[in-house]
Amino acid sequence: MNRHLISHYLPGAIVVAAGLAIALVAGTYPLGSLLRPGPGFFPMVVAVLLALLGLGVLGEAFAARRAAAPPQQPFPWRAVLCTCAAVLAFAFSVERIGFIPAACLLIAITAFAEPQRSWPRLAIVALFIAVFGSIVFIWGLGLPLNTFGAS
Amino acid sequence: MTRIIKRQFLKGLGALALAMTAGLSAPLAQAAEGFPDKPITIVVPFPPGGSTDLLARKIGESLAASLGQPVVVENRGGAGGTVGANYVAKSDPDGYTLLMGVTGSNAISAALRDDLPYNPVTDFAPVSIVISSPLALVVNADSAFQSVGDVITYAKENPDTFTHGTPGVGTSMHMAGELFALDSGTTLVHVPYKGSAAALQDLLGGRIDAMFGDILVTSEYIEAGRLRALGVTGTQEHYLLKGVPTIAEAGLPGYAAVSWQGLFAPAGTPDDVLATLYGAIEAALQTEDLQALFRERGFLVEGMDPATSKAFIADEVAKWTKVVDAAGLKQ
Amino acid sequence: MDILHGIELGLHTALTWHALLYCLIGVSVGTFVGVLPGIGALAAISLALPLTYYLDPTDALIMLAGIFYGAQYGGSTASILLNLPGTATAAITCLDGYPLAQQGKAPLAIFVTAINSFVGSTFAIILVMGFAPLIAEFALKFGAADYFAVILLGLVAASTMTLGSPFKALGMVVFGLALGMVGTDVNTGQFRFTFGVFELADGFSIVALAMGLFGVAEIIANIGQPAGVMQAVGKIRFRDMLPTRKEWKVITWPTLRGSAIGSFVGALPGTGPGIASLMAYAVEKRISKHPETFGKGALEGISAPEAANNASVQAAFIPTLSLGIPGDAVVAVLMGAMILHGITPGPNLINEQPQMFWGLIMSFWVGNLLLLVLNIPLIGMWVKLLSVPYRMLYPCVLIFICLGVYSANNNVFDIFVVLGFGILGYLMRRTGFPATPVLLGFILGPLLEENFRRAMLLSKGDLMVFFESPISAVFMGLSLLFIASVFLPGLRARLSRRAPKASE
Repeated sequence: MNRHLISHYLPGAIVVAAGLAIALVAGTYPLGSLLRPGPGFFPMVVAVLLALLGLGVLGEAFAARRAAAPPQQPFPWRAVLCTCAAVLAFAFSVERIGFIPAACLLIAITAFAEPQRSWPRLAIVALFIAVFGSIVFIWGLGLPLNTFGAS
Repeated sequence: MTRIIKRQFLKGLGALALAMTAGLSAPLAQAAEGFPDKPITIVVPFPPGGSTDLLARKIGESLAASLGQPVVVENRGGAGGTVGANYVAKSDPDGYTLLMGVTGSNAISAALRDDLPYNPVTDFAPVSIVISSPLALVVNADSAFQSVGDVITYAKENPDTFTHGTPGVGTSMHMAGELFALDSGTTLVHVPYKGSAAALQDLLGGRIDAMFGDILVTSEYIEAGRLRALGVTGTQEHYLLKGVPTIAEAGLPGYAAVSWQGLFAPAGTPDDVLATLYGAIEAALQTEDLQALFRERGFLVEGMDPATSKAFIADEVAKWTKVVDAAGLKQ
Repeated sequence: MDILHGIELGLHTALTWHALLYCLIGVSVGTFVGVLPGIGALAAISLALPLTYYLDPTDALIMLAGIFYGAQYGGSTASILLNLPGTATAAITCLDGYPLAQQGKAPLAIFVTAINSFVGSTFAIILVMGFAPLIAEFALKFGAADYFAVILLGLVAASTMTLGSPFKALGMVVFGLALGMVGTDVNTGQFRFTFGVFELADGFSIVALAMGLFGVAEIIANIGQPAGVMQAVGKIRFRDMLPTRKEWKVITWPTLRGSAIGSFVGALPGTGPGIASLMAYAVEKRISKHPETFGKGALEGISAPEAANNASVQAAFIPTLSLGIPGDAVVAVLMGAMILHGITPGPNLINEQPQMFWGLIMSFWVGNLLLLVLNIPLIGMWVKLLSVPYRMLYPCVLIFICLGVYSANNNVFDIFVVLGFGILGYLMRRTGFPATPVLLGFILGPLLEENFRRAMLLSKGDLMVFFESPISAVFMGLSLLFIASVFLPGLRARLSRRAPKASE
């Protein structure tokens, strides 16, 4: 129950918090005035608006507190973590070990997001990406990456 | 795979071009042993299509032909050229990664900002300041200002009123305007835009008083009778704007503000590598082909050697630091 | 020179075999890069630019321009099929295009966008032919206050666009405004919200934002789900693509209105196709008798913005060719190409280079016809993509996204950004926060701030400047009307009650 309460009000609270955080940073820039706005003026206006709208979201959540919450699917930790790991691995490695190895790494990591995986199929994907990606992006569009090895 | 094939193909082309030019031009002095033995990258810190991009590509072609290695131009745009400059500053100082730097990325930023992750002066070894281009002080053709003197008189009588548009804070156009204010003892209103086209639009629409603009671009509007040039920011008359005085002649003795572009290596690059690169640039600048192109584009050929370039940049940084401090622009 | 002579001269230029060839190359490359998520016309044109050094300048421009408008045709494909927009324009097409695809109507949706694109382009080309100098002079009258008013209207329209909670939608518009402030302040050069991360000095890349909030979020939502998201696509027959008579009727007016809005916005330098699509969508939703169908696969919801974005791309040539002021970043590169070839665009271009001007415009016709012929047969092939199992498709899509955002600045940092926005986008989706308003706030916010501050600077701090200029006053009035139509539901209710009576 308590857990439900938190997740019910959390989105609105985050919006309010984001607004306050932006206001805090915006306060460090010269504000100026409405007629001569400085670099901090718009950020401050935006921050206040965001916080107010966050309150609105909270209010909505409060109004709907008795409504039956739609059945929420469990949070897909596996999908989120695998996507993160795969993309980060690609980003860190592509300039160091080359496009094709980095792409294979990404494909291999995303495979673990699925309950079961078929390696032959993934090999086809890897082959396709190696050929298509190299031709289109590296040779065709001239990205400063190597197919193999550091760029 | 494909990359390698392409590279070999380019290498072949380069060698061919080398073989063809070898017979024509004398061997280069003080060539570095074994440099270059792989492709050279010139980083352009702006998106493609601008004058820096054009210059880099043309110089790159000449370097490829005379050094016998392919030259790849890479556009790494962002933050007024500082993103690309930062990338080169952090590259290996071996002469294989070079920057086509400009006034903003390699001198004004040193005066203006403390918050850059690189030092625009000490992180670079200049190869050569290749070209310079003065700017033109232009006003709308319908404006009442007929001369630099008119502007100064007006700005003196009406402080904080005369507006000049620029492509952004810290561009050479901005600095030209601030120097103008400093030298004439006036206060102008700086109106920054994102890019010079937007500023030009407001100048043509009569919403700003003036701008310090690129000579080639503004000359089209001057010919068409839409703009009037009051002065050029260089030290002598410009061939595209015959009859327009320099601002120094027209009322501000000693005034000079040009934008320039040059090739930079990361600091710590061996001197003989710099010399090899400079030799190739020097030779390229002699060719009729490049000279004709630069003339068309409104550039003045500089071709300073590494030592002269270094001294030149030191002067520039000192000059812009003075202006930035006077105008209170330091970030 | 009168128009007929111009057309004749232009056709002579555009119908030579080499001009046709380069036009074909340009539009084919354009369609292809447009389909690739994240790779826009800018990347392709930049790449092709040096290759055109050795071409005749007119041929070179015909090819480069072909890439530009060709990419607009391809751009909607990935959005409709995979909810994977590479640009702001495409994000708006996603709103109704992706639901259509989920209903198994992908062939129809893509066919309709091809037709809309053609009509939008055609509409704008006619304007360019007949009235380029006039329109350009009108655009010149737009000052900072007028831009502010136009952008404000766009923002008001954006705020009323999506379904669901108004607080969440408005909150996301404002959140987009906040994201747009990251980077260097135009007026002072101060770094804002960069927190010492130098890669943020130019702000977030719009491509990374769009692909993260939509594409990556979509992937996270679908990974590991047992069932396929799409309805099975069988064999595609030509008649699956063709709209029915009723559907033709539905799209006719939205397409024309979209074309008109797109032409107007495109002719204003510095705005761009994203704003054109957004305004067209918002207007359709506002005047539609069934606004509740928008966002659930309304054909009007793809017709108007698609027509608008193509019209705006062609209209962007108006200020460029008649005044030398580029309409957007891509046209600026094209202008760079002209300068490379020794032609400096300025107010005399049309008189001094009539052959190039008219040749280029006639090539737009030819190119758009080619695009239509080229794209319709391709629809079957694109839709076939959906029959690839999703678990094989999404690793490829992820790699395309990474390379796409990387290509913008050749910087790995943007890959981190796209991932961050992907996770954020997924969380927003779970909690019912719409993503499109974020993108719209992000595009419009910086323009709004920049023009407001410039207007204040130029008017010495006089707020009346927004009402003294007639252009600005008109747009301010339109914004008020828009707001009134939203916040006076009583008025709407009364109107809708009256409507059925009138039809009796």
